[in-house]
Amino acid sequence: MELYCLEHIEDKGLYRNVELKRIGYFSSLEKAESTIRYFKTLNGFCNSPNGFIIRQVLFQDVTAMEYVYELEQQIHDTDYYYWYEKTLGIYASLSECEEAEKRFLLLNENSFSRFELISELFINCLKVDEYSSFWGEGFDTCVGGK
Amino acid sequence: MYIYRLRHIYDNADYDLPAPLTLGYFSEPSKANEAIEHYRTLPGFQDYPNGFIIEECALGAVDSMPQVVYEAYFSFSDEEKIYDYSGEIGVYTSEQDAKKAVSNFKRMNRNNIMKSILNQEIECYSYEINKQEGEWCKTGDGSVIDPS
Repeated sequence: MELYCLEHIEDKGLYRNVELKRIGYFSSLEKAESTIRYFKTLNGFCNSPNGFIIRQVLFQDVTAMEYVYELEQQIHDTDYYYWYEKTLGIYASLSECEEAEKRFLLLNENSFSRFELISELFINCLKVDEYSSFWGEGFDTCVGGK
Repeated sequence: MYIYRLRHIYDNADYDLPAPLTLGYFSEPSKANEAIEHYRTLPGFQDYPNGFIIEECALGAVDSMPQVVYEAYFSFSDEEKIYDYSGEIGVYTSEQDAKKAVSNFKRMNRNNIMKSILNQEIECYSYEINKQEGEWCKTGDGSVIDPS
């Protein structure tokens, strides 16, 4: 099956470290577009109304999903002057996501033990067809994020 | 089936850093580790020898290991490249699928991010599996697929 991942970046070029806001995963393109129309009215998002990004995500051998599990890596220095995040994978179950996390750590055990930046892994759980409550009231652009 | 993407990050620099570079795709973790040993001998990488990251990428239902994969991605930046955000659309085993994904991305976002004032790159690059380059080259074999 396929889901539509909705994200937002501020498109005014104000900041060096672009913050990606993951809004949610939707079962249809229409639901993602409807969510965009609502989010364009919210604080922060209304200042970058063209900053929305929709990505199609395909899941093999899955017919129905209530939740999505993301494995995310964050790499940063102690001051968060440098900060980078990447979604390593998107999974239909928590157990699949945890297995992928173990494999990733095993693949990189030699590098990460000597890494001079901080590398952290997170598992995010999002309910399909619901937007993230974290961004549900918008954000304050004056401080560069919520 | 999984393949393994090798990336590099400047892991001990004290200045503003770019996003990780993709160095190649490999059929097995051991081949990615061999490539790391090779890259560590090269200028630039020598200064950041611990900045290598191996990521697994699911290829879906394919019968055999492909010789080439196609990475579809997007990048948005301002004129000075001070603001620069890039992301992955997907990794595909056929040029046709990669082009289709790029077209879908453009269609879905024609009223969204593609209306922004930022410079936009939405393209595909091909990577030969298990290929190590003598010097870093973003495209692996240097070829760029025209997604139009």
